[in-house]
Parts: sequence; structure tokens; C-alpha cells
Amino acid sequence: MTPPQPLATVIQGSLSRGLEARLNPGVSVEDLRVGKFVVIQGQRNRFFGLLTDVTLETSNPQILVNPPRPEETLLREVLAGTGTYGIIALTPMLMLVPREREEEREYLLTHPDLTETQTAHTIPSQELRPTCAMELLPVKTVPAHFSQVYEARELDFRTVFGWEDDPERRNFAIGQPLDMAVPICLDLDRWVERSNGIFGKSGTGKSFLARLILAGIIRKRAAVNLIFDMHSEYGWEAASEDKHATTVKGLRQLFPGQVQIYTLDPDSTRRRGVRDAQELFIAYNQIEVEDLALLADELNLSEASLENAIILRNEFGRDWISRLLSLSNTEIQEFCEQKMGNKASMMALQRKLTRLDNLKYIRNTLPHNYIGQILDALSRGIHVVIEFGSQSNLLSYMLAANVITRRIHQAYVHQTERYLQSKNPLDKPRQLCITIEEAHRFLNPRAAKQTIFGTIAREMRKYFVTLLVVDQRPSSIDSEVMSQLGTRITALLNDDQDIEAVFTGVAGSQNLKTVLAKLDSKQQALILGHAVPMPVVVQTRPYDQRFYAEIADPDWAQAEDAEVLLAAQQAKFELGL
Amino acid sequence: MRAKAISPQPASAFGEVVEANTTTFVAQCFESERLTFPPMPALGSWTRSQDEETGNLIYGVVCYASIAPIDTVHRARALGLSPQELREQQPQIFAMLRTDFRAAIVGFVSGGRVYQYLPPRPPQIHQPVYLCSDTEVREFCRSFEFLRTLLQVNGIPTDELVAAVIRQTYRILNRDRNWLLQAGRQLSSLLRDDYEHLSAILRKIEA
Repeated sequence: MTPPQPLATVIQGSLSRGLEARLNPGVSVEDLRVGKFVVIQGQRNRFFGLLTDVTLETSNPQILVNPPRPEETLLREVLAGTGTYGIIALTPMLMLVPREREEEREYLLTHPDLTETQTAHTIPSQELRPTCAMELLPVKTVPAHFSQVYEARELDFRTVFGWEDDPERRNFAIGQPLDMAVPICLDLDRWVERSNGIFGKSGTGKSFLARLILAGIIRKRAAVNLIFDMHSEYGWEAASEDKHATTVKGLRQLFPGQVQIYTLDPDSTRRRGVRDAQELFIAYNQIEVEDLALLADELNLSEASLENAIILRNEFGRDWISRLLSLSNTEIQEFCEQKMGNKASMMALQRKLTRLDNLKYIRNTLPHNYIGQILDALSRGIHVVIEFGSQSNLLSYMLAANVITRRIHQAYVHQTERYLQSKNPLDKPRQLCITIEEAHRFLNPRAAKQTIFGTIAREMRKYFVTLLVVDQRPSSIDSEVMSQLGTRITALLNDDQDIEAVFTGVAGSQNLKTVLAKLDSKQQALILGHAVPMPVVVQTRPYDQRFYAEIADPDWAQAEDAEVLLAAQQAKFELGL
Repeated sequence: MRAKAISPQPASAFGEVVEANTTTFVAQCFESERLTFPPMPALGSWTRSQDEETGNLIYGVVCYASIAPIDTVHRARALGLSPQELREQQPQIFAMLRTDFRAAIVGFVSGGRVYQYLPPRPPQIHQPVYLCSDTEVREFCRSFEFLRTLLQVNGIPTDELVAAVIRQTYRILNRDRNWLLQAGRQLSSLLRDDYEHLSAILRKIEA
């Protein structure tokens, strides 16, 4: 293999502000795009970094005053790389340190009497050099002056992002870098450990990304998913923006045995051709005052109404909504005279709560505990998609999501406490990942304090519950929540506030902003955070037939006979029959 | 500097060193056998002489040439004759003129190795001067340090000299564009603060 051509030479920089490298003569600025993954070969260490900016420079202002004319090709060619040159800004992210040096040093420290010549002779070299001699560390220094910058090769990507079939990890290939066909892997174990976010403008492929990752989590069994599917695009088929395929498969189609669909609008779900979706109802007695507080904007509830709601709940207990709705005006008046409620606001509350009656999935009382059923499915490792169908207005989405999640939250807290007491691995709750869309409605600075999602984002990691926040307006999300997100996947964002918000709580993010603002509007995303060793721009994996084949459980009911027979034969053979 | 040996081609000398100093040597061209002015090397062409004591082959580029009377007493004057008429009517004047050229020393070869800096000693007087062969030029011009020396030559517009040397060498190297670019880049870094100078030279090369 020919040694790769160095692209640039490091000339200055710092760890905090990033490095500047001067392009070598003959390398065109136009070949280097922001977001490129580069390798800097230092004297001892190998650094991995991201190209974050490109600048044109001249050594002499005279050149700018009197630039070469178009026909002066020789002058232009000579100046390129000498008088005029490109500077690339690099942000080093990781360094590959030869491990044996560390060990050698430790050895010397523990055996200070050994001189250098002795160590070379007395210690067998195999002991000092373990098979995997390199160690990947966060960057703690910068390469020396005039270190050469190279384009990353396949092996470099592999070293940093791992292999998808790594048996020790649950790696999932999310896509590939912009200019090379190498998979970039997310470490799903680390992904589900923290709450995560997927951001991007409308139409940049957030849902596709989310579906991709959810499919990965299901395939690799990293966690169990609860998905609040506001626009009915995760569970069953969803419309595709691709010209060739009109629809793409949902999770239920990819993993028939592992995903259950619950629906709040059975008619709509059935119309879309989903055969075995389960209906889901919520009773008034499952709605708490805190749930209403979240809906204060949607229902136009005042503070006073909420205070009255508390009075009512204290008086009537869990059934307070149905009791309130059945009260007549005179009864309200009587009630207010006896208790300390305010008649006007209580009547306003009653008026406004009648809007809930329009929601199809609300019942006065329920004979069956649907939420318990969901919890049961989750504890068995079945992934649950909750569809809203025609009920996809925000009021109904937020109400249902909040009510359900509150129950699940309680259950998980109990389960974790039991586990902590018994220390029995069987009691350990399954890692749960809750996906919510339009997350800024739940997690805006006002709501985040009250909704259960705010709590989960902040601290539920300890209770094995994390969030996957899908949103197009990250600036509206509470910064406290944003700063706790582990991994962020960001498609194109243009708004400065949104870009700023995505980088909340990320050190050294200045340089990444240019990268983010220059992404393509389709199928490109910047991944940064806990689940990847370093920020990286990826061309996301296409969600197509090939992906189905790679990731899906074979659906034998739909398969051709010949195919089934062949598989059966193979299976028998493997069993030795 | 390359370790590859330069073997001087046995070619007949066309001049002889008549004056030498650390940076330049002056050679007088031999008179031709026919009645013509002596053949004069072109500006910027590569010449070689030697330091006999050490055996160093000393390389210089022609930076200045002159045709003058052999002494200060007899001055040439206009005769209004064509060269053919001159030969027929005034054959003696060919013997009364001498052709000198000055070569700027840019490097030397010792023990087969090229050194692009000034030799420890200039060539001795009366050493023969040869025109370099293409192979010699090719070997010598693998690196570009000599350009710096050329830019410091006194008494001649260095733009013209450098442009002439590069033009000549480029032709000898069969118009190797890559070499030309490298030479240009070297010049560009040498003339970092003098863009006007650089662009003037490059325009002369390209024209």
C-alpha cells in the first residue's frame, strides 16, 4: 500500500481553540470539506480530529492588490501553496497513545533500580507489549509543530468507531462518513444509558433517524422501547419522501414478534391496515392535577383553575374530574360555599375540562388496566408503540403521553427500589427508552419543572429510564434538560438559537457550529456525545430494502414457500438432524 | 543534494578562465578557426570549470558577456560593412576583439555529489570552461538552492538572469512542467516579500 499523501502541516493552535494546519502545495482547498475526519500523526501519538473550518490566506498583501490575471497560469500555479494557501482549522478529539510506553514507565517506577539497558535485556519484550498496543484517549494535548495531517483511512475509522459485529459491544452502524464507505457505529449500551436527542429542521429526516436507531436498539436488544408515535410513523408503514418507494416499513413490520402497537384511535389504525393493534383508553381517574398543569396552555387554564382542581381532588379523590363534570351550577355554588373554592374559576375549569370529553380515548371509568398491560409488555421485553391516529393534536398527545409515562415512572421507581433491596439480578428493571416527539412542548423551561419528562430527563437514568427526544426546536427545550442529554444527533439546523441550544453543555463546541450549519438538508447528521468516541458527521444509513434485510426478523408468514423450506432445511442441518 | 555521480562529458572546452573570485569567474572564449566572432554562450546557460587542486567541478551560469577590443588603445569603430565584406576587407579585426563572459558560481560537484553552495575555492586561471551536457544539468537541477545564489548576483538585473536560467533549464529538461512549478514555488518562497519581482520573473518565463 502506498503511504498516503499528507494533506497539511500543523502550524499553530491550542488545545482549547483547535489547531491550524497549512495545506501542502498541490492539495486543493476544494477537496477538503467541513466535517471531514482527519488524522494527525504526531511524534508519538496519533490524533483524530474533525475539520471545522477552511480559510484562504496570502503571505503578502501585494498579491491581493494585484492578483494574477486568469491567463497567468504559471503564476497562479506557483502561488498556490506558497504565496496563497489554505488554512484548515482542526479540532482534535481523540488520541491514540501507544500503551506499552505507559506500562514501561510503570515498570520503571516500581523497579527504579533497573537502568534502561537492563530493562531492555531482562524483561521479555512480549510482557511489555500486549497484543493491542494502542489506547484511545480523549485528547489531552496537541501534536507537535509541523505534524502532518492525513486523510483518515478505513482502519482509522474502525479504530475509533468500532465494528458493528464487535461481540463485546452492542454497536449499531448509523451511517458512514461523507467520503468513505466505512460504517460509523453507535455504542447502543452507552446510548441507552443516558437521555438522548435527535434534532433537525422539519424535513431533514428526524423520524428516519429515530426509526433507524430504534430498529437498532430492538435488534441489538439494548433496551425496551416505549414510543409515543404522534404522527403514526414508527409502528406501521409510513410515507416515504423517496421517489421510488412510497412507503417504508414500520418497526412492527420489521420485528413482528417484538413490537406491539397500541392505538388511541382504533378506526384510523385499522384504516391504515394494521391488523392487530390493541386499543388503549385512559380514564378520568388516571388524570392528575399535574397532568393538567402541563396542559394549562392547551386548555387555557389559569393558575386559579389549577388551585381549584387541587381542592376538588382533595375533596373527591381520584374521581374528581368525572365528579366535577357531573356537577350542576348550583352544586358548584354549594360546593364553593362549603369549601374554599372560587365559583367562577371552578365553573371555568368545568367548562374547559369538557373539551376532554371530545377525546375518543377518554372514558369515565375503565374495567381494564391498559397501562398495566403496557407495563407488563415492557417488562417482558416487548416494545410498545402508541399511535394517536386522528388524535394527534397536541392536547391529546401530551395528555396521553404524560399520563402513561407518569404511571410507568412510578412502576420503575418501585421496581428499582425493590432491586436495590434484593440485589437480585432478576429484579433488575429492563432499561427503558421512551421516545417522544415535539419534545419542546413537554420540556420547555416552564413545563420541564412539572412534567414527568423533565424529571426523567434529569434524573431517571438511575431508575433505568431514559428519553429519546425528537424535536425541531431545541432552543425551546429547558437548558437544564439539554445539558443532561447524553448523545445528540443533529440534522441541519439554521436558527442560531437552535444551534446554540444543541451545543448546550458540550465543551469546545464553537468549532462544531460551522459544521452543523453546513450539513446537507437530507440524510446527513452530526452525532456527538456519549455514544460515540468523538463528534462525527455521517451520511445516514438508507432505510431501504437492504436495511430491512440486514436488521429485520424474518417474517415467515409473509415469506415465499421455497425460502421458508430452505431456511428450515438449514436450521435442521445446524441442529444436526 | 544527490549522491548520484555527474560524469563530465568529454567535450571540447570553448573558453578559458582568465579571472576568478569566490562568487564568479570570467572566461575568455576561444577564437574560432573561421573568420567569425567567437561563439558566445547564451545568457543563463550552464558552464563548468574545475578547481584542479581539489578536483572539484565548479558550475556556473553565464550572467554577463562582453565583446571588446583586446587592448585599450585600439578602439573599434563603425565601418559600415557587412560581415562578408568585413571578412574580405578587414580580416584582422576578428583578431583584435576578445569575447569574455562572466559566470556566477552556483555550486560544485565533489566526489560525485552535488553541492549547491559556493565551492571552497574558485577555479584557477587558465582552467578550461565547458558547456554542461543535458545530463549534468538534469542532475544538478534536482534541487533548487541555487536560485537563492542567483538572486544575489550583483551587477546584472537578477530578474533577467533567473528567468533566463529557468527558461534554459526548462527546455533542457524537455519542458518538465512539474520541475517548472517546483522552481517557481522555490522562487515564490525566496521572494516572499517581493511579489512584484516574482510576478515579473514568472511572466518572463512564461512568455
